[in-house]
Amino acid sequence: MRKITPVTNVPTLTRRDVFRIGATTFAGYELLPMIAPLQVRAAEKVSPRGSAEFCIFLFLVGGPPQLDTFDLKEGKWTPPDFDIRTINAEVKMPYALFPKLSGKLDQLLLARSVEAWESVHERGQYYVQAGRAFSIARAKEIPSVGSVIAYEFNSRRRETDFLPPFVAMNFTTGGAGLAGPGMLPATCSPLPLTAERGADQSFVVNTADRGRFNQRWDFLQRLDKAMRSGDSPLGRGVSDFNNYYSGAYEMMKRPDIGKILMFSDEDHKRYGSSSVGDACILARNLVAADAGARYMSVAHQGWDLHGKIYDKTQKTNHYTLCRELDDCYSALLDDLATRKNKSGRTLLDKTLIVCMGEFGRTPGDINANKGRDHYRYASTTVFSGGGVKGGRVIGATDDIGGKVVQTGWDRKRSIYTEDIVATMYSALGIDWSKSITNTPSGRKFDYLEPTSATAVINPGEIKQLFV
Amino acid sequence: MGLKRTLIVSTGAVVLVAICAADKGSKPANHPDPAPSERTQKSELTSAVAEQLPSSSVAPVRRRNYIDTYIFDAMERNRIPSASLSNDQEFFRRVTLDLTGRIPDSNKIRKFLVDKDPDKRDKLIDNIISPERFEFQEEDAFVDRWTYWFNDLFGNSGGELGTPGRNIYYDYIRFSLRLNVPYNEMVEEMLTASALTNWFSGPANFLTRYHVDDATGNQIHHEDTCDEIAIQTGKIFLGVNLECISCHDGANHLEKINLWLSQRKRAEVWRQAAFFSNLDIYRPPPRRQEFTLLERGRGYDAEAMRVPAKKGYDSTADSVVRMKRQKADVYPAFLLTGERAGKDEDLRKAFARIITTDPQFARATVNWIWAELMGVGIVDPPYGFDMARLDPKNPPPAPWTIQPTHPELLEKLAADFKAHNFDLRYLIGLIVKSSAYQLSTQFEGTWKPEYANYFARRFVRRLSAEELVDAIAQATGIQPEIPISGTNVKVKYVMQARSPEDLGGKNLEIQRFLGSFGQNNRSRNVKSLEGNVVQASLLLNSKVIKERITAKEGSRLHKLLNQEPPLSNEDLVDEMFLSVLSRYPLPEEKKVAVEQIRQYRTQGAEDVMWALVNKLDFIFNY
Repeated sequence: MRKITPVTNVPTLTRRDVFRIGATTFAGYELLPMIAPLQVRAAEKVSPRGSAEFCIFLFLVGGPPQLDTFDLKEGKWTPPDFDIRTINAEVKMPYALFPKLSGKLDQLLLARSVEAWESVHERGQYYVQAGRAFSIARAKEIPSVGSVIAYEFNSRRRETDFLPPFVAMNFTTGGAGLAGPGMLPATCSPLPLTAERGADQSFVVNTADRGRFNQRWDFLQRLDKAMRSGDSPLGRGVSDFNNYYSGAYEMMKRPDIGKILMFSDEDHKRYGSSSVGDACILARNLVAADAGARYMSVAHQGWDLHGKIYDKTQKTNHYTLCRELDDCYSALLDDLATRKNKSGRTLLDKTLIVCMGEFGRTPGDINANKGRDHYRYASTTVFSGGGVKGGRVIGATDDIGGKVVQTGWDRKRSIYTEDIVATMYSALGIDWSKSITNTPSGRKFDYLEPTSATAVINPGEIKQLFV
Repeated sequence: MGLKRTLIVSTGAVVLVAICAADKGSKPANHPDPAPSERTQKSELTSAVAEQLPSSSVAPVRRRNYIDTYIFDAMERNRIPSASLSNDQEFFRRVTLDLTGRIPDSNKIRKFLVDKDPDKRDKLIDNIISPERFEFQEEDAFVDRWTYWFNDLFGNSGGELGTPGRNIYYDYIRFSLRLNVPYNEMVEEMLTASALTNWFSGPANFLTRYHVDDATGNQIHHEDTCDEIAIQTGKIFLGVNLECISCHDGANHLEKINLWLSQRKRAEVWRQAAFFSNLDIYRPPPRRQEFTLLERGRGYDAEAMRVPAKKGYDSTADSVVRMKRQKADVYPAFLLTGERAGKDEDLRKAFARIITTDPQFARATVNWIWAELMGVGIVDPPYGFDMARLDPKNPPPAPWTIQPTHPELLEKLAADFKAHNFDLRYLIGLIVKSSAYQLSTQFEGTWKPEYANYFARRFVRRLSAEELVDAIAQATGIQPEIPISGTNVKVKYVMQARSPEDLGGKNLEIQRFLGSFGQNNRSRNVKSLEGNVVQASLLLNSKVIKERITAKEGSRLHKLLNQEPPLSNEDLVDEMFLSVLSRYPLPEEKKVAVEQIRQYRTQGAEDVMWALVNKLDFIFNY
C-alpha cells in the first residue's frame, strides 16, 4: 500500500500544468481537484490500516430482519420450513434461506451489535450513504461516503485507470435516492449503473454501432469545434462539460468496457438470475479489471416487508430476497477468492465487502399484517474480505433480537453507521479523522462527525474485525 | 438569405481574456459570505459559453423599468462595463425556456425574427405570461412550468403524501397559479388548512409534507414536526435557514457564516415552531401515507384514535432527528420580531397573518423568483438571508458587509410586489422585461469576477433535467407518454408530471436519465445542475437519445425528409438548427452540416440531429 500522510496537500498548479496533466490522464478525472483545492486536514493521529484496495457495499435497501437472517432467533413466529441448523456454538442459520452462505461462514464476520440512528427509510438510507444525519442546511455540500473515497483515490490514480472510483448500481430515485458528491468535484460523482439483463448501458457501444459512433464523434468535434476546441484555456462550466464528454469517450471507445459492463448467461444464472446478482457480477468485473473503480455500491431493493413477510405467494417475500442474497453473495465470494494476482493475494483479500440495511426490523413476533416494521435498535452487518477475519461473531442481542446485550468490541457500546464507515475508510487507507475546512457554507466538513444527530459518539474503526 | 446575414453577426469577437481572468476567482477560505463562490462559478461558466455563440447587437442598452435604474446606476457609479443587449435569437430561446421550461417552436422564432415591432419583446412576454387565463386552457406551458417549480420548492411527493395527496396538492398549486391567486393568500390558506384527510384537501398537504415520523416509524413526532415546519416555512417564505439553530444556539457556531443567526438561540426556533403546537398531524390506520391535519380536540375523538392527550410544545420531549432538547420557556413568538398571537387568536392564523405581512416575506419571495430567472439571487442562495446585513442605513460591524448585491432594488421589488397584491405574474413579467434580464451572455472587453455582483452580463446555466428531456423530445418530435399515477391523465412533458415518481414503468429509461441529470426527487436529494461523465455518455449513447434521433415515422426528421417539395440541404440544416438550437447555423456550422447530409441524406440527417442534441449550446440556457 501507498504510505498515507495525515495531511493531503492538493498541489496548486498553474493552468498550463493542469492542462498537461489533463491531456496525459483523462480529462474530467484529474482536472478539477487541482483547480479548486480544498483544504483537507487531519485532526488526530489515527493509523488507517490500508488492508483493502476495493470496497463492495451491499446495501439491503428497506432494512432486513436481523432475527430471520444472520442473528436468528427462534420463536413462535419462525416458519417451520426455515430448516434451522446449528453451524457452531454461536451461529444458527436458517439453512433453507441461505444454503450457500451457511457453508461459507468461515469467510464472514457477523456483527450483531449494530444500531441505526433512523427509523424512516429516506433519512436512514441517506445516513448510511453519507455517514451522517440528513441536514437540509448542508445537503447540497455534503458528499457521500463513496464520493469521499473517490476524492481520496483521485490523487492515487494511475495512467491506466479509466473508470471512475465510485460506481453505484441499482439505486432508484425513490427513498433517499443515490447520494452524490456534494461540494466535491464532479470527478467524485458516482457512476450510476443499472445492472439488469437488457438494461441500457450508455457506456457500452455495440460492436455493430462502433464505426458509426466513432464517425459521429468526429463529426460532433467538427460541428461543435468553436465550443470544444481544446487549446483555449476555458474556465469551469462548459469546459468542464466538454471534459465530461472526453472522460465518457475515453471509457466508451475501449472495447474492454463491454467486457466489464456486460455479463454471460452462465454468470447471470450462477449469481441467482436477479438484478442484484447482475450488479454483483459487475462489481466483480470492476474489481478484476483494476481500472480505477474502488468503491462499488450495490443496492438490493425490496427488504421493506411490513406485511406477509413469509408468504411465498407474494412476488417479493423473505424467501425470495434471502435466496437472491445467498446466490449473489456466495458467488461473489467464490469468484473473488479464486482469483489471485502475482503476489498471491486473492481479490477477496483486497476487497472489503460490507453488507447491511439502513436499519433492522421489529423483533419477536410479526405484526398484525404478518410483517415486520422498521426498527433501529438492533441489526446485523456482515463483513468479509479485505483483511477481515471471518468465521466469527461480534456482539449479541437478547432472545427476540430486539436489544443489544453484548457489544463485542473495544468501545463497549453498540456499533453505529459511523463506526462502519470509519472501518471502510481505514481498510482503504483513508484517514477518517480528516476534515475539509473551506466548504461553501463555511462550516467544517468532518469525514466523520463526532456526534450523530442526537448523541456524542466519537466514532472509530472496529479493530476487532481484523484481529 | 439577406435576412439571415443581418441577424447573424460573426463569432469573430472572441473574449478569451475574459475567460482567463474568470479562472482566478477563488475566494479566501472561510469567507463570511458563501455566495461569491457560486457566483464566481456561474460567471466562469458564462464566459465559456458566451464566447462561442453568435454575437449580439451592439446597440446601447435602454433602461426599460426601475430594475434597470438600480442595476445600471450601480454599474455606472462603479464604472463597471455592461454586456450589450442579447440578440433576438438569444432572447427568444432564453425567455421561452425561463418562462415555460420548453424550447421555442421554429416557426415562432422565424416570425419573431422578422417582426419589426419595437415592442415585440414585451408583447411576446405578455403573450406567454398573461393569455386569456380565465378561459380554461388545458395547454398552458407557463402554468405547467411554475407549478412544477413550486412543487419542487414545497417538496410535493407521493412517497411523503400518498399519491392522492400528491395529486390534489399539485392540482391546488396549479389552480392557484392559473387563476393567479395572490401569493400571500395562497400561503395563508396553506398554513391554516385543516383536513380529515390530506387526500381530499390540496392546501392541507403543505404542512402535512413536513411530518416527521417518530422512532417507531408508525406515528408522527409532534415536536420534531413543529420544528420541521418552522424550518421549512423559514426557508421558503422568509429565505432564512434555521436548520443549524434548530440543533444548537448560533453562538460559537455561526459567527463566520451568518451574523444574525449567530445571535439566535435554539429556543427561538422552538417558539416559532410553537405556533403549530396545537396542530396534530396524525396517521389514521391502516394507510401509511394518509394523514389527518387538525387542531387538537377538534373534529375527531383523540382517545379513540390513540392520540396521546397533550397540547403545546414540550421542550423536554425527546427528538428522533436532533440533539436532545432542554427545558425552556416555549411560547409562540415570531422569530423575526417576537410578535405574539393576539388574544384569542388561533395560533396558526396568527402565524399566517404575521409571516405574510412581514416585509421579509415579500423580500424572500421576490428574491426566489429573481434567482430563478437571473441565475443568481440578489441574496444568494435564496434561503441564506442574513437579517443583520440587509439595511445599508444600519450597516453591520466590519468585516461584515451588506449582504444583498442591490439592497435598494430588493426593497423596491418587495414593496412593489406587495403593492401589486403579491401578483406572481406581474413580478415575473417585470423581471424578464428589464434590460438587466435581457443582457447578452457575451461581454466585450475584460470580464472580471467581481462584475458578477453587478449582473453585468447574463449567466448561463445547464438545462435542468426536466428541461433537457422535454427539449430533446420537442426537438426530435418524439414525445413520451407519461401516465399520471392515480389518474387517467397522460401527459407529454416531464414538466407536467406531478412528481418524479410518475416517470416509472415504460418511462424507466427517462427516469434514470433524469436522475443522472440531477433531478430533485423531492425527498432527500436536491436539484443539481452540475455535470458529470454519465450525463455525457447518456447524451452520446443512451436509448433515450438513440430512439429519438432516427428518422422513423412520427419524428421531426421523418417529416422534414419527406416534405413536398423537398427541402434543399441548406434549408433542411436551417430548419434543424432552428428547431433544436433555436437559432440559425453559423456559416461554418452550416458548411459542416450540409456536407454531412450531402451523400447519404437520411443517415446524414440523423447524424446532424444526434450532434445537435449533443451541442453544448443545446445543453445550456445562455
